[in-house]
Amino acid sequence: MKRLIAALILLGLIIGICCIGNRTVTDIHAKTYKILDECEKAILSQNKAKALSAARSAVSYWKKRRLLLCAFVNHSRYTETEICLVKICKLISGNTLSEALPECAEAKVILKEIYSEQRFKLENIL
Amino acid sequence: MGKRQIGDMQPSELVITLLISEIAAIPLQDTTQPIASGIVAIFTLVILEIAVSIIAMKSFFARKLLSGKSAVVIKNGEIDQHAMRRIRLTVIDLIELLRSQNVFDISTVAFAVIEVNGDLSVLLKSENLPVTAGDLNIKSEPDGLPLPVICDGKIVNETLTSLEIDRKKILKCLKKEKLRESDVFLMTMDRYGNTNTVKKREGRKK
Repeated sequence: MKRLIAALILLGLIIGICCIGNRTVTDIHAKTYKILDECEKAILSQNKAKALSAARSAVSYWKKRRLLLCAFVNHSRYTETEICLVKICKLISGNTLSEALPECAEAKVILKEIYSEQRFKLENIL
Repeated sequence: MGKRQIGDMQPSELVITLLISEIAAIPLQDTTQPIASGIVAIFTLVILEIAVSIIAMKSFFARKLLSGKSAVVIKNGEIDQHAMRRIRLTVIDLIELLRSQNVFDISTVAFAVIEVNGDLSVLLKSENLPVTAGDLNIKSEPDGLPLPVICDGKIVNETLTSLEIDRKKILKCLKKEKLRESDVFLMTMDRYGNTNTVKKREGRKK
């Protein structure tokens, strides 16, 4: 009976960790994606100030949430994303908005790919 | 898995133990791996092991599948060579196992069983069994399990509860032997009040 209770407690912990992890990764990815989307729109409308603000907001948000995200996903996967975010900031502040646009798109694609690969799906488990 | 050594574990338990150690090492060695993935994997294996052990406990078929069954290798004094071939036990192995049970002559063995953990259980022929007090019609005193009541100079309260005695009885015994509680390294007592005392050596006393 004690073993059964212990097993149920562990099962509850596993489900809890998985749910919290899933929610955390989903929220952080969604928010970063949204900020990058705003940055992209601002670049397309040639609004440098708004684009720079969005890019800096993305970098700042990422820095705050990175530690929590890395508790659930492999750290090395996010290196490319971080490089992209920093590049976007530098390119926008250097008045090269046209070059910042593909970086925005690249960062969004990377985030989408990581999210798709790390999700709790049958394809990923098998 | 209970309090068992590696050699006493079932194959499934050994596999789970090795897997858990491998998985635990991964996030420790590779700092890019999140700790949560290691924790979830370890907990999953532990749950699987508990589930397998509960199923094995409830189902005879599952227990037979997971743990195997014991094999009688000596029956009525004769070696069962088919059984030995089935469990891949050689004659030399059998002789070694018998020797570890203090049996040096196979002709004295009535039954010998190889258990699922590889141990050999032996039943000697009745004429070769050691004599007991019952055989000689000798009335022996009832047995009491000696439990430690003082360990390293301190009274063990849990033992007093098990023996249903109080500290006064212990102190009375100590007074009889002209000892203090702190002078005793080990004192055991059974439910009939029989004690065995080991004093502390000089230099250990406080």
